[in-house]
Amino acid sequence: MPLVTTEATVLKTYEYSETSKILRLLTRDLGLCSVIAKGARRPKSRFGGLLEPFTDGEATFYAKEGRELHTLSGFELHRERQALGRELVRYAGAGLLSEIVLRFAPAAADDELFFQLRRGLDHLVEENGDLEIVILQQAWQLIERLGFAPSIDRCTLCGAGIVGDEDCFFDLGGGGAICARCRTRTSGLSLRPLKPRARAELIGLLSPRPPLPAARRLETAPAQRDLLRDFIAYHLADHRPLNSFRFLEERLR
Amino acid sequence: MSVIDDLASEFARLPGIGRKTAYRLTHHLLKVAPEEACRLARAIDAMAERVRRCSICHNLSESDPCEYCSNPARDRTTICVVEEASDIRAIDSSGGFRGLYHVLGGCLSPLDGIGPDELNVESLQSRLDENVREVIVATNPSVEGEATAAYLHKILDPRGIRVTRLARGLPVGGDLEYADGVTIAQALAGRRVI
Repeated sequence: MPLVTTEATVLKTYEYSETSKILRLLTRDLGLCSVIAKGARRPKSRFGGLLEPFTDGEATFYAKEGRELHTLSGFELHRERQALGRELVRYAGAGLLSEIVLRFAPAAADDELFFQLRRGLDHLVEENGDLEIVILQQAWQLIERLGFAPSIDRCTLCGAGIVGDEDCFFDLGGGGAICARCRTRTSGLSLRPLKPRARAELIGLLSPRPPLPAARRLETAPAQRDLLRDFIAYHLADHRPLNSFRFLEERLR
Repeated sequence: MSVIDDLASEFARLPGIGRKTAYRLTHHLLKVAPEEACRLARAIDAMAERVRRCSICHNLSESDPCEYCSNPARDRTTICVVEEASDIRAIDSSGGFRGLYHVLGGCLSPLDGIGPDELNVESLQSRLDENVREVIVATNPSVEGEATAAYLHKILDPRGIRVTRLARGLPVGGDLEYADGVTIAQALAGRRVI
């Protein structure tokens, strides 16, 4: 039974029996893992308040081959993000990022996904401007890392470049933009209009470097929210919206 | 399925009871005197028959309103909001609170799809008459509990009600040397003048 020590972020916790907790972790070396922290709910547990969602640390656990649940033996705190719970939109955003990783991350370790999630949670804690921009941006970054980024620079049917002020459409099934010329030649696609302003803001949200100052508000926020929700449901979640997305939308109303 | 298997599978449905423990409990009941097993069965039957949710505070009780809501000696100016009915016993046995309670039925959890509509928030708001001066939010000291407290503060504060939260920090009898960073940070943030 090898003892494994790896950087980890706590995504979700479940109460187990009278005193224990089961944690879903995103680890740097082993990807998604489930561990049991025995006695973690006792008032004088050695884990104390460390094992909370959105906390970063170094987890040490006994990894048994062929087992899905490992036993946590230690957790050294690197960064706690309790502040996310003090504001509902931040909390909802952190829940969304965690749910995307929990439900769609591959079983194998992915360094970039691991650090992308941490960056996303850090942005959510630190942002003083429009939180919605940060949430949408960080969610798209995770989706891109998972290999599902939409293509919006070129028409996904004819390959022609789409210029800035051109009206175009977004094909949910095709996962990208369709130019107005191809729109007239197609039928049966799940299309929605993508106005130049909405397309420009979507390009900003998809960019790895934050080109949208969060101090500004999104002009097309409802359309961006709808697109992200439907895109995740279509491509990743069997046409069902994520629980945390519904929670987020209710908070942003 | 035999009667033994049947009982064991019912035990196995309880939280924290696995298949092996379920069979151990079943065989224990087979070893004891039959009247002892019947007493357990009667207790479960009576509980299922008589225990109900209080229509005011959602506590579990044999009477409606429950023993807290119907007790005129309790302080009606303060309501302590807890996540589960089982939390009431812990707080009340401390002897430090003599007001009323309100059971939310959980806490806000985006990943589980639990929003304010899934909690007993509307009934809490309907209880806040001119007598109520303070609502103590006694949700668990977790991120979820904190978010739930933030939500309650947001909706109750505009009504002019004092909303307070249980203090967080070092456990009584604990050792500072062995406390974790999060707990120490919370204790420092919540320090008070002596």
